Amino acid sequence: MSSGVAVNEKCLEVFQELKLRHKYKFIIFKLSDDNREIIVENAAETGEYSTFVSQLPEDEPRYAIYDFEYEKPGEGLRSKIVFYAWTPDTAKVRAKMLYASSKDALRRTLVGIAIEVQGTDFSEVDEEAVLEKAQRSN
Amino acid sequence: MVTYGGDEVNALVLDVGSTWTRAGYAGEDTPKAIFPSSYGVIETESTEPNSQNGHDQPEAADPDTEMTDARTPNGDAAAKAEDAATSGPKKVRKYYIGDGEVNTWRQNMEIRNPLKDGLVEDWEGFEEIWKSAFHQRLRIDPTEHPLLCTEPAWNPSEKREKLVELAFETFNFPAFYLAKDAVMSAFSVGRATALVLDSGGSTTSAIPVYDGLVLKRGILRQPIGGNVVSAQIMEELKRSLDYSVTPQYLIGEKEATDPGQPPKFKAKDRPNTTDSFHQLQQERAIHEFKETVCQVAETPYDEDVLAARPQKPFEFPDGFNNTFGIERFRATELLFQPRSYLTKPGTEGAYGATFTQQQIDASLGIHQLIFNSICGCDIDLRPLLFNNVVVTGGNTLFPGFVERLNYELPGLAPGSKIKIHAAGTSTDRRCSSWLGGSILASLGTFHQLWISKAEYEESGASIVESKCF
Repeated sequence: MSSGVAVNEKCLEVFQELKLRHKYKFIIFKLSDDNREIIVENAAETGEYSTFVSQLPEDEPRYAIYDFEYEKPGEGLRSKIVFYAWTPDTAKVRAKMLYASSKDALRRTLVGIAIEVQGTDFSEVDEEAVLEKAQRSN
Repeated sequence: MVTYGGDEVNALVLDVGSTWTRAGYAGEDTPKAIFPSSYGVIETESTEPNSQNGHDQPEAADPDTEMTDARTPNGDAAAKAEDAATSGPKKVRKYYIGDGEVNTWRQNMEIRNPLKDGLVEDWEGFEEIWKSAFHQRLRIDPTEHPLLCTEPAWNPSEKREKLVELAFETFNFPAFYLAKDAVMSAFSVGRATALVLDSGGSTTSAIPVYDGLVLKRGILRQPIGGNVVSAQIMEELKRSLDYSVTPQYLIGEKEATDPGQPPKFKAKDRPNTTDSFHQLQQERAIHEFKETVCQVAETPYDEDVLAARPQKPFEFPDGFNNTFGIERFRATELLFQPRSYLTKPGTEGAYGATFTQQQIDASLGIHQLIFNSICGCDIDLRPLLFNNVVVTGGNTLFPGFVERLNYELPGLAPGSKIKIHAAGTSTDRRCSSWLGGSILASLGTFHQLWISKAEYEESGASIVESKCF
């Protein structure tokens, strides 16, 4: 079940750059204004986690990718690609619905995602919560 | 209010629930028409349909029908003529659909409901509901609009195919889509993955949805919903106050009485009233009682604590009034503890909704239903589902319902992060699956998913299995 919304080629391109060359730190995707396809809103080459979170709009849904790095005790630095479906409770029903029904299309295009996070408020996407998930998923 | 985006497809969305039918245009945020799914029918043996029409006209002028939607007599006559043609020369059925129509007293009018357990049982009545929705309420030409219809997650394939046939053969819609109501509810709160708890009039169900697909293994449902709560309230009133509800249609004049005193009213003469009509009217009065007075205990049910809560007054249509304290909580407790609070089989004066001992033993509290449903799913999905419990359906609107769930669920699943999502307004929660359908069908990109008439003609009704899942 999906809405039939397409994924712009640019999305995959930018994602590959992030995955293979670590050119970007995080990417934020959104639906185009005519609601026909998913496009890249912002791709940042560097950025702390807090910068990333601050770029998520408070009352509009988004999709996002963050190249998450963390220290595994005794085993050194690891990195995981995290996918976010950001749908704050305050967003409009229509927007929430659109993002929920179109998520699958984007999610399937981007291969190599280790962790998926469904976020409805900032506590669900904060660093601690994601770190916990990362550690559990080896 | 119209919020079109993308192509203007002018699609229609229809959601037939066990109590209410919602119909409207895709892209709008509320259905244009909401009317009861129950309908009235009068069967006559007459061979001359027109003689009956004359008889009915004065009835329609009854003051009780003020809220009736304007129905043209022409439309009625046409519908009847059609019926006469299809149901043979002997029996003539006249249908009464809509809030005003169903609740207007008529001699020998039987009330029926086309759905049982959320599934269509009575296709003839179901077709009348469609007719009424499209011809009398929305007043559209079905050949000009695609139709999106919702269905319960447990709809078997024969019924799905029959729905497709109804849409293409009987109504000639150019395109059609069937969407699962649980998925629509999940989408409407922005989730592609969620556990949807839907507690409506006849059924309560817990349905796990993952990435927009229903996980069939985890579906749990039971026939305990608002109607059972109503029946239970009637019993309770009879038992503790020796009062049985007299619905509005029987009441001529009434006098004010003191709280707790037997009502004083003059009954209207209503000969040949059917039992089903009387029952529907009683349920209506109780429905108001539920909306005004009833509540769910926010913490585990404790008579002593709850008895200390403030009482609420309520007056029934016949003038009987009283203040209600613990009764407000006791009636709804069966949602959470059905085993202890459902009427045992063989109890005297039980109103319709009786369960066998076996059914009672198999029943589950709502929190247990959610828990068991989640446990029926893959272990990796469980945390996700616990974190996305979506509640919908009119029954969940009792004050205290969400708070109680929030209290009970963590007790069953310690350590899991639990989050319950409930739409804020009552319209949103009663129409969540319609709303979901409305948004989905209004997307310009959705057109590639419709089943078109040409596809139907090429592959037959079984195409629904490959296009809608």
